Amino acid sequence: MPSPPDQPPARVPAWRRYLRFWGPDVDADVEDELRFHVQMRIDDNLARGLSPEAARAEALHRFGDVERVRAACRTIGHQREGAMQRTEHLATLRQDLRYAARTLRRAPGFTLAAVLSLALGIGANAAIFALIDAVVLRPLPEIAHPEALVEITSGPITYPAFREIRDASGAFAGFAAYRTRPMSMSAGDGASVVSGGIVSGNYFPLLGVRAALGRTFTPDEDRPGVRIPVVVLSHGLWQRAFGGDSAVVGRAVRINAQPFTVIGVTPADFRGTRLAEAPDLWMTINAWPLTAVGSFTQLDIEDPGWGWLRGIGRLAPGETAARAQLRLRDFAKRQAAAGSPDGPAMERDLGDVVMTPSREAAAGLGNGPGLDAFVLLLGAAVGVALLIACANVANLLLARAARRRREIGVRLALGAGRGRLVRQLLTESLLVAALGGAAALAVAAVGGRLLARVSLPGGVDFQALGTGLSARGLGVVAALALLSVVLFGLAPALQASRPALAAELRGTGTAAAGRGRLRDALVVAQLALCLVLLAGAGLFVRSLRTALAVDTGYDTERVAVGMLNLGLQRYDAARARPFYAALTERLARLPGVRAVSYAATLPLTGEEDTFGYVLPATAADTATRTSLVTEQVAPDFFRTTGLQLLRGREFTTRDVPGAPLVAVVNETLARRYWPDGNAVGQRIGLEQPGDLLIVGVARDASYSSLDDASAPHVYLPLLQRDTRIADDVVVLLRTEGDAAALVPALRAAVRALDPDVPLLQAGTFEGMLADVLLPQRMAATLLGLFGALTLLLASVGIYGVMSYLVGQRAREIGVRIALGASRSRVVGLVLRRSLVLVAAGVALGLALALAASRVVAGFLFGIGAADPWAMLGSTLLLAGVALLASWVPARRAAAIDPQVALRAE
Amino acid sequence: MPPSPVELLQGTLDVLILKTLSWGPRHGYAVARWIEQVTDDVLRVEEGSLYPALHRMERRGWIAAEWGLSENNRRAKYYRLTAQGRAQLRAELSTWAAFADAMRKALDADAQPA
Repeated sequence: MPSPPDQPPARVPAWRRYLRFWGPDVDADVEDELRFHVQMRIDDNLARGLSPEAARAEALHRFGDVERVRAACRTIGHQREGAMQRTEHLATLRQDLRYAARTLRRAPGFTLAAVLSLALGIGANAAIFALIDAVVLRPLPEIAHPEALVEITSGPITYPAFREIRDASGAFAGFAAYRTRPMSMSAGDGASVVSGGIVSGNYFPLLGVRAALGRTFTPDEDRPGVRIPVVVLSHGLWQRAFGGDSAVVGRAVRINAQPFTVIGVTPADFRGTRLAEAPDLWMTINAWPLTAVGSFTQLDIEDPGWGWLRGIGRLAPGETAARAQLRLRDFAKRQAAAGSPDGPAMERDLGDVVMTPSREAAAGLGNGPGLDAFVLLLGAAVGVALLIACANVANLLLARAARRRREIGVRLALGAGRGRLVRQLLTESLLVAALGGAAALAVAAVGGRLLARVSLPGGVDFQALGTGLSARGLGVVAALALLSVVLFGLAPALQASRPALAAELRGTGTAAAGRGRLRDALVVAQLALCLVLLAGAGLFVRSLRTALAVDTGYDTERVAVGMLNLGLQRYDAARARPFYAALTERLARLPGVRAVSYAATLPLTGEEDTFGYVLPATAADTATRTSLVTEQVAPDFFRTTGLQLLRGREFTTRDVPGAPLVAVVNETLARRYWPDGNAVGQRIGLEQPGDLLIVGVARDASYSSLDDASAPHVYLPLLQRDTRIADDVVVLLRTEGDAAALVPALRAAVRALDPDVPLLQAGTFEGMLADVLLPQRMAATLLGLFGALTLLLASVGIYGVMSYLVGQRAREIGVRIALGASRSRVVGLVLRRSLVLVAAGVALGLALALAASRVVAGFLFGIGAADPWAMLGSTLLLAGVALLASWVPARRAAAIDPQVALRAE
Repeated sequence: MPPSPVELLQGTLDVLILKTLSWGPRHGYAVARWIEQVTDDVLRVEEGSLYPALHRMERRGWIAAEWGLSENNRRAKYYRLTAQGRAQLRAELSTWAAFADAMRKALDADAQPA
């Protein structure tokens, strides 16, 4: 069968021969082979007597389709090459791994130290990462485009103002409002206290949150004047109280004893817009008056003078928060100028409005730095610990490489490929990283569980944040392990395999010196970072001690406290008063109880109340009011809390509605307005000018924060204030013995009076105060822990470097000793070297610490960021430990036997 | 009249190559020539299928290749049988023998099948 004439196999160009340097050239080989065949055939034909052209033509014709054959052979050739290479690589890898495992087993000290360092460093980071993720990176889960949301953080707004802003201000693409209050919810059996969100009808659509089950509110359900009792549940509440029942939509529940209907459930990760307040359920603003209790029953949500809602808005695309802020301010001014009834309130509330992106507002803790700053501080601390751990591992690897340089030199001399050698060393490092990473998982799991038991500042529940080792956390662990090993395994591997053979074998040479400098640099870095952590710990410890040493004015020992809210069970003031009277009587009869009282808030732990008073200096101008922080307290409050009365008397059971209105002031207020005389007997005005008679003067005490004792305060009798006694109340018991032991009795007493009234919180005064200082305490503890850990790591590092140094210079030291140098001189020699390293580390560390401490200045109480005691103390600690760690190798140096040293090598 | 060249199936080509190489290493052209000679030119190898077959068998490990110099000092690829190839050859030979035997029995039969 004739086949079309085609190209004979071509001659392979000579330059291709050089490609074989990198491996077999499959294509060229095929070409050669086919060409050979055709040539042979042509020769045969010529021998048979054909003409050259005929011989060639016959040969090609006989061969067939050259292109097809060529293609087929090439394909098979390439496949074979690929398979061979893969097998070879796998074999090499297996060999490398086996060898690496063997060498690691033979150096258990190094392996353990390296794996442990990595495990602790990476594991701690993975555990904290979950927290960082929840608070800083994604504080607003399930919300669409959270970066376009802003909150009004300068203060709450009124409901009418909210409507105006939403409809007419033009500052936002959408504007909603919310507030969170505790509520009691009953799904059938027994009531529990939940956190209830009160939101405008467009809250969920604004956030872009859709119900996971059922639906959220329609615009119709939040019209002024219309009270539609529907409620949306959170995923958590749905699971806890309804067992995840898929038929929950349509069920009836009772909120503050009022009937509501469930219309939907939110997605699982949705937590609202404030980390510290994750509502369990939501209702509309207009439905809320159905449940309003306590002080809020007398307030009207339409009241243009009462600001209580938090505004949250979504910026239009391309709009900035600053521009929206300006627009809102202008709008408020215009409203006030136009004489609208909301005008004055709007101007007061919004004239200086400040808007904060929701992501920052979410972590707000009130005054001072927010939760996100705190978490970032934690993150920085663990990050530093990781750096130190990596430096340690690097040093360990370098030391190992140094110890094996003879072996490596020999192998290089015997012809081992440098690439192969580097690959082998790198495999060792990879194995260490793999082990370290696996161990890190365990550390992260344990760390995560420990963190879950801690409560974060602001009362945020760590577990509620839904943290734990997630896929992202695992990814972080893997990435960190890999990165650290590539960084710190590659450098030693490359260094160790540099072909300075003769020098390697002799054990001297510039390569050794260069390595020594790198190790020194690593140790200095370790020391510096360690100092930063120690200094940080020192700062927080000092801050904590200063805070604890503040004289709050109260005697906080041996006081038990419990929080109630009778309004949740629909008590009014008339029923609440006898309840508390009966409770007080019961509690007073408990063994060991010296005094019982109650108040609207526990000092230093709650939201303060501020009222406007008319004071004598301004009596002529009754429109001017001075805002003063006010504590509403029951009889015996001062005796119970240990707050000293300087003059006059405290409130008694005779100070009831109908009796003359009285007040007690603190000494700052008394001194300010009646500097020469007695404040007792004078009058100040609350609702009417001069309606309150001052009956006592109390010592200054801290009220809302530890250092506000020198502000003027007013105390009012809780019994005379209808609006508060049926709201949040704190009961206080002073006892002779252990306050914590009284808590069960307190609970029992409350239950005995009314089993449906829950005790919201119970503990000791000291304990509650301690919570206020939680950020400092946590920081001090964690930084101290990490500081100690890194101190250990750093001292191991410096010990290693010094040992190495001594080993390096053993001959030189031996010579010196042989020539008569005293042992102490030798020790001095080694220590001098160590001192240089420590000094460098301290200098660098102090610089870093001073810079870093400026960042945490907001958390510190009573001390400056550059507090000299903290800096000095941490420096001395570090220097002491580092020098101690150098002492051992130094003594070893002094004990070198010159004969042995000189003969060795 | 000698029968015309028969198209060879791939499997039969493989066993022929193995048999050829059992005498010693050869390059591809020599294999083709030997097959034609031994069968008195009845079996003409289509050279196009020879080389893919050789490469396939090399990949399967029945034959191994080595570059060397030919009789007239040209660079040529020589193939030789591996141990695996020898085993394969033995197996194929017995299969072929059985096959040929069966075919002869069938074609020599005088009696009609029942």
